[in-house]
Order: sequence, then structure tokens, then C-alpha cells
Amino acid sequence: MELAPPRRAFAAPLAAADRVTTPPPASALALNPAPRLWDVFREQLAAARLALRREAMVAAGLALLLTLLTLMAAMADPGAAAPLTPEDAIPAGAMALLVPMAVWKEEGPRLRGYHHGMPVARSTHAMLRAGAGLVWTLLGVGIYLAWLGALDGGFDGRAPPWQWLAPFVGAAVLYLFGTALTLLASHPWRWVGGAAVAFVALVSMSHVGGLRPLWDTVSYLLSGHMGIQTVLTGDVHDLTIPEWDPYLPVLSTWLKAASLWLAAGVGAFLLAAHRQPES
Amino acid sequence: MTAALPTDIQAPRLAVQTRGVAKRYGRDFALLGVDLQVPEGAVYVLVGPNGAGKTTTLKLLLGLLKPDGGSVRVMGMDPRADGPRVRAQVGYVPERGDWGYPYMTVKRLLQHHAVYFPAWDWDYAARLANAFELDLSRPVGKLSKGLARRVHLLLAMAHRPPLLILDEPTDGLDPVMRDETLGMLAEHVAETNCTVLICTHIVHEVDRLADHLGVMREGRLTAQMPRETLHRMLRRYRADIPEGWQGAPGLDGTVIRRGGVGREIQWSVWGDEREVSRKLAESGATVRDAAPLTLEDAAVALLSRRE
Repeated sequence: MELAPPRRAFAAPLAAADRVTTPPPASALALNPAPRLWDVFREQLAAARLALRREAMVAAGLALLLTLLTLMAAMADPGAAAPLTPEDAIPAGAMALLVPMAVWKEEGPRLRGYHHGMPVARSTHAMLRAGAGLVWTLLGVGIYLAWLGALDGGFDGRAPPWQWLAPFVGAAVLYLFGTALTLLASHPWRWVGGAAVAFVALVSMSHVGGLRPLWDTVSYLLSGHMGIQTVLTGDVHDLTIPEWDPYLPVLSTWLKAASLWLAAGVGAFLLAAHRQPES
Repeated sequence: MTAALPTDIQAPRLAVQTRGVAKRYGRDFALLGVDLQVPEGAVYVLVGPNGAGKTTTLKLLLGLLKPDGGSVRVMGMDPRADGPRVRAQVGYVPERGDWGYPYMTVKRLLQHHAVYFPAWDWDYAARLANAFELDLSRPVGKLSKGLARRVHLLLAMAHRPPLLILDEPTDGLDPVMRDETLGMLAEHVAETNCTVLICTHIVHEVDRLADHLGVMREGRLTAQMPRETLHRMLRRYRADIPEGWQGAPGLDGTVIRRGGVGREIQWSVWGDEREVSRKLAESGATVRDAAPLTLEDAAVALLSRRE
């Protein structure tokens, strides 16, 4: 295989005239330049795509399978399909929590020497990597919605246009929390798994008196007025609205909830990016 | 009295300079008061047993670790305050093999690395890849230790950095490739006049490159000097001793290593050759010869010296 620079302009080799062909003197006056952050971000986009390739192929395989099953079901019962609602994007949002673990695969906090050894500030570099992963995550949410919409025979016309932003914002929030966890924890999968097990245990024991306040708090954080479900779907859980369905899209509440959760997600991410363990 | 081994290098410009650097892991000190001085253009070999603090020192130079005390300067910059600019000047080969992304091919990793080092020279990279016999299509995660080492060396050298920091650079290489690699390294140093800091405990491999030696033990830099000083001051004296010889009191503290068989002693002594010979003669010993040590023998002698 021939060794040549990639065709992308940003990674092209220096022009022949600029190339270092004469020995640079080992002097502080002849320092090598640091990379441009925009170039690093574009490279991180490409690197994150490579890191996510295997997971994307698995997702594509599952999507193909589900498409076939749905088509078979549609042939059996042509009237069964319901239009896509923002609520249907919840699984994609939940997946966004796990994407950072693939973006930073095999780079636990103590195994990040290569990443930290590059000529970019550690926290800035983490932000560029996380930003690149976020771009692919949001693209994935978009593809998921488009695929589901096509499968369901269209989008729910009753949902206001702004409500289709909610899955993207919600996914970004969960992605940021997932990134913070991945940056700090040696085994983020264990934390997510542990949290899931703890949640199931809490659900099954929510009637126990002492656990009631905890259950109420968790329940509010998940599906309450300002909960993550509100951020993901734009639908606000409000029992005071005299409708049979207590979940209704309310832009002002969604904006408040989204701002709050985004701020918390960004805060958690920034804290993690600045406090990464030494490697 | 113990001979004061040199720990201060006189050079007009230092590529690396640390002063009283300390690093602690929990309650244990990994480094304590390290004053490392690597002159510009030098090939400085830092030797020490495992756990002496060599790798920790290198990571401090790159800003990968934060010192708990003292100051660090690399190419005149503080790695903590100016880490990215410092790392842009450094080609680093780490001790550990997990350097780079296992899901990338070698070629893709080189392309990735080149983005971070705008001075990357593709022609030179191709030459190195050819010399290192690298299969560019192989995934990084599936490389053997030796192949991974060659990739690391390529990554470190292809942007022609002013400073190369190599942590056990020949670890995992077979003898032929080791020779080839050291040849490439010598050529690189001659071409670029870069400064090289090599950490190793296999000193004879880098004998032909080294012009400075530093000795680390238990987190302290116990000696550092130009090779010329080492050559001149540390010698192995072979002498015949009379029966009932009481030793050479005048040399107390300057004997780095004692050896010998029967009536013949072989001592590695630090000091001016004439002075040491005179003191040995005064003690009744007959000096047969005083020969300079190889770099490895000198390193072993300095490492095994009892304080």
C-alpha cells in the first residue's frame, strides 16, 4: 500500500517549497507550528466516524430487520400504521447516552495518553472530540426519525414544527451526560447498567414508605413537568390541563426544561473535560 | 566521604531543564528534587532500574502529568502552561504499547497524526515506513509489540521535531530491526540536529548514539554528565595488591564499584586518573592499567553505587 496523504484539503501535505527538507535547528527560534483547531475538529469528525462504524453497522442491520418485519405487518394489516410522533424518538435519545462510550472506545481515563499527547490543550481536545461525536449523534437521530417516519407512513401533523427539535435537543443533553460519565469513569457501562438495575429495583419497591421520596424525585426527573422526557419530546406532563392525555406540547415549558437540562449537561461535560485523570 | 558525582551540565542552551521537580502518587514520591538538564542537540540517555521515575519524568516534560513541586522547561516553555506548543515540538515514543487508535489502520493513523503536526513530512514518513517494513493496511490494534514500536517511532520522527523523547524505543524489536532502527535514529539525529532524550535500561543498545548520560534511582537523578566527562573521570583500575593489603583510605567514597580476584583488584573509581593512581600506589597497590568504561558498564557501576 502506498503511503500518501489523504485527499482532503485540510490534511494535505505542505507544498514542496514549504516542506521541511533541510534540518531545522534545535532552537527555540525554529519551533514547529501547532495544528489549527478547525483542522483538528475535522479530523476528529473523521476519527469519530471510524470509531462509530461498527456500531452504526449493527444499528443498520437492526433497522433493516425491523423494516422487513414492519413491511410484513403492514401487508397483513394495511391500516395499522400510525404517523410518527416526537415521542417515538425517545429510544434514539436514550441511545445518545451510550454513544460517547463508542466514541471513546478503548480510551479509558488512564488509557488516554495518545489523545492527551497531541499538541492540543487537554480540555479543548476533549471538547473537539465530543463535538465531533455530537455531530454524528444528531445525524443519527435525524436518520432514525426519517427512517421511522418513512416506516410509519409520515409524520404526525398535529405536532407543532418546533416539537421536532425536541428529540435533537434531548439527545444532545443525554450525549453530554454520557460524555461526562465516559471521561471520568473507567467503566461507564457498569455505571449505566448499575443505574438501570437500581431503577428497576426502585420501580418494584416504590410503594415502600422510605423509598417514596426517592421514587418521586426520580420520577419527576424522568417524566415530570421539567423532566428529561419533556426535553426529548416537547410534551409536558401537566395534570392541570383538562384533557384526557396529560402530555401536551407547551413551547415555553419545553424551552425552560431544555435550557435547564442543556446547562446541566454542558456543566457536567465541562467539569469532566477539565478534571480528566492524568494518564 | 562520598564522591560528588556531577549533576550539573554546563551548556549554552538547554532543550530540557527541570529544577527540583517532585511528583507524588498518594503518599509515595515517584520523583524527588530532579534537576534534569538536556543540552540542545544532545543525545541524552537516562538510565535507571524499573520504577526509578524515568517514565514519570518524561510525562512531566510533555505536560501529561502535573508536578507536585519544582519547575519544568522544555524548549524554554512550561509544559503545564504551554502544553500544546511544547508537544508540537516533541516526537514521543511512550513505554506503553497502546498508543494510537486500535480501530484505525496504520495508514489512517499516520494521516490522523499528520493533521496534528503541520510540519509532517510525507516523503520522510514513506521512507521510514519502508525502512521499518510496515504493512500500512494492518489495523493498529492487531500489530505485534515490535511492529507497534516501529509505528510509534515513525509517528515520532516524521514531523522532524526539535526534541525526540523516546521511552524504551527498542523494546520489542528483534535484533535486526533494532539495529535498523538505531541506524535510522542516528541518521535522523545527524540530519536534523534534534535533541534526543532516551530512557532505557538496555544501555548498550544506544551506546553509539549517546553523548550524555543521566542516572536515576529511586526518584532521584543521582548523576548526569557529558560522555566525555564520564570517559575521563570514571575508570576501571586494575591493580595488584600485596598480601595483607588494608585498602586505599585515600579513595574512600570515590570507589563506585569494587571487584577483583585474588591479588588483583578491579575497581571503578571516580576521579582524576593521576590522582587515583597516586592514591592507589600510596596504599601499596601496583596499578596495571586504568581503562575507561563502556557506557553500559559505567551505567551499571553508577546504578549499583552505594550512597
